[in-house]
Amino acid sequence: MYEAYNRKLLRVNLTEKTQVTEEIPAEVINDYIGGMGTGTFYLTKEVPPTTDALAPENKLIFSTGPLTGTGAPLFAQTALVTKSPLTGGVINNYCGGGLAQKIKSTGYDMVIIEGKADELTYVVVGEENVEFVPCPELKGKDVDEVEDVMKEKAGRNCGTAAIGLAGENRVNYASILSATRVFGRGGNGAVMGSKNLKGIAFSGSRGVKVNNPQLFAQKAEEAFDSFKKATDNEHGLLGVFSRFGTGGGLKLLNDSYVLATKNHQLAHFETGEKINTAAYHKLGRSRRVACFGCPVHCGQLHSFETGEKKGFYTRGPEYETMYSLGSDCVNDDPMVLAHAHDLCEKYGMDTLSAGCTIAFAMECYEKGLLTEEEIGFPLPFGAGEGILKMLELIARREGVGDMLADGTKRMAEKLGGGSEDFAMNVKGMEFAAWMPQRMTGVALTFAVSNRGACHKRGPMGAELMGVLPMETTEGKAAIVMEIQDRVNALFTLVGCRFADFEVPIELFIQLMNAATGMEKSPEEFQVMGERIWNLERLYNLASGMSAADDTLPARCFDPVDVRGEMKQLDEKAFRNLVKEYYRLRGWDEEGVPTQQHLEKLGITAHWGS
Amino acid sequence: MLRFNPEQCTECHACRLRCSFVKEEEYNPDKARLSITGKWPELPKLFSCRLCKDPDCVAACPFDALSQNEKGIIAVDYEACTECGLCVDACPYDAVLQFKGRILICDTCDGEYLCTKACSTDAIFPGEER
Repeated sequence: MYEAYNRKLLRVNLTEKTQVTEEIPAEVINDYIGGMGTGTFYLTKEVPPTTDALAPENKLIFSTGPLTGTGAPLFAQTALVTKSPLTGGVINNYCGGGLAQKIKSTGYDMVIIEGKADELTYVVVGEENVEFVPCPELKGKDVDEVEDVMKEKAGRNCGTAAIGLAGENRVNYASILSATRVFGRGGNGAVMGSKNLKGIAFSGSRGVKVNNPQLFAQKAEEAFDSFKKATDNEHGLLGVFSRFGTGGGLKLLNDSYVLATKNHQLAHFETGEKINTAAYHKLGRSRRVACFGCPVHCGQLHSFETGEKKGFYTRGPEYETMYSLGSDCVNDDPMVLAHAHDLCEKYGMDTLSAGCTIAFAMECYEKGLLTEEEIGFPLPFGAGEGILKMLELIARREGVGDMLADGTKRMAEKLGGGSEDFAMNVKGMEFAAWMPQRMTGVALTFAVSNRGACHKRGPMGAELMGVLPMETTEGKAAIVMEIQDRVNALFTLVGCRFADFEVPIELFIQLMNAATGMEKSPEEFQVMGERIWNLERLYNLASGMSAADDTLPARCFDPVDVRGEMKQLDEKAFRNLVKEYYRLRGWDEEGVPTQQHLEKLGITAHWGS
Repeated sequence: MLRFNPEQCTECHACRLRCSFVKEEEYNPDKARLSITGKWPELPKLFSCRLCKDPDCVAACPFDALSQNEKGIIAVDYEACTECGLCVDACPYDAVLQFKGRILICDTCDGEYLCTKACSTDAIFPGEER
């Protein structure tokens, strides 16, 4: 039983410079599997909900799952769970590439980072020892350089996670990067910076054995064949992603009038075709890249071979960045977008929150709430150079950048003047690339998600493709709830969000059972997702959130132009949808899980226990 | 021998995972008999046995632990091997790999090259017989 696990977690305490190894109890694995599940279990248990996210008492939990490092396709990601400085709640993030396999190869399923180093430090996690390496000379250095230094020390083959300047400066939406992949949202990079931790290298050589090799290989083959078939279909979603990356979807969204533009004032970006992946293919050489063992290969590498930027190369931008630093800022210059994306990688910042915050600042500028004198340069919508300058200021927390580095919610609190109506965030988290104005499922998802305005667990695909009507609220509460629980369950295996687009989740449960010897049913798996969702909710409520935070900025109820016709999200219908959602969740009218429901799920408020 | 189209390779390493599972019944890319490295904007490179005629690795072994059959496949006699690594140094293609001392050389899976079946883009594929 549990063959595909190491069954061990490592605690790295930066204050004491100590390492402790613990066995992960069977009941924790049984109830929470791994990844986001075990990560959320330990975080909520060990970090009191009222803890300041940037205090040494917060923890960073890197967590893998039983399918990590195996031949099951689309299980390459690492889950990271921490308390977010942006939302104040518990947050889970996912980073692709090859990091998760490297973490697991050290002999640990989870690594918990605790405390705070007394000077800037990086850590090398090996199979036996943890090495604490003071690195004051890396202060202010870019992620790439930090990775090179760590690889020099720990070997070229090691996996890395590092922060740039934004993390050191506690930008509220600073990210942690691993090569060109990112733990994007909610400011985990600021948490790492607050611990004086510049990077972590994972260096191991252990493999993964599975409980039933023959069955596992057969099921992995089945999954591989399904993904291969899906990517062979050039008109299907994964087929488009495998050829053009996630940016391949931009045209469809724009044509459907659901592409958030000009700080969510518009649903269509007139010149959107200038910044989609096809546009990048015209500027130079491109290549497809994949996460570890993944046949979908949705990554795109570009190198630029013409004009003044000749020789510049990058991975991305991804679709969400084409929105945030593209359409939302009315920026249709692909070189500016590529550079903006690159600055975010260099300094380690979430492109979504950074772009959305700059779009907000642009609107504040146009409305006179921020002046050219305060900013130092003009910042109207479409100001390409302004975007690049502002990203520098944010990462450095210089001038007005210091305010933008706190995110839209805190900015609006400072600026006033009705700006909170168009500060596009929920619970402090800036909007992902979707429009609640156009899609009721997205509206509910953004309003009630434990991560804030997050796109990971919503029916946007079905609403976009016409499987679900965009504009009616009927049935949406049950659909959103089902997706939230299913995706949470998938994230305990640390499966890619694209995994269940084409392959039924049952196959992943079969893979998990064949790998571990467990005998989980699809129903148990779904309930586990629900258990985690409720645990997060309970924790967030204890951290100070309430039903009042399950809402949307006023702009979401303004009419928006759809091919000349004005469309609107009905505020009353939306409020009723939230109420219906609470009811289906087994929560009271204030959005608090009832005792009866918590007992059914087998969870308690275990913090401080 | 195993052929490689670097333009098509996505650097996912599914081939190495498959190799380790086939040979060791364990998923561990470090135990694979082939290796792939790359850093954009450079294209990736494949390292695996090219079934040389008069192979330098065999000649370099002072313990006669390596031998080549009529198909060009190199076999390792692990009883005789002292893990000295001279074959690793001798290979002009960096195709003799080592895991914690143990010598790993592609044996072509009887010409089947099972690693290629894990490749989603046909970046690696079986080439002509020697």
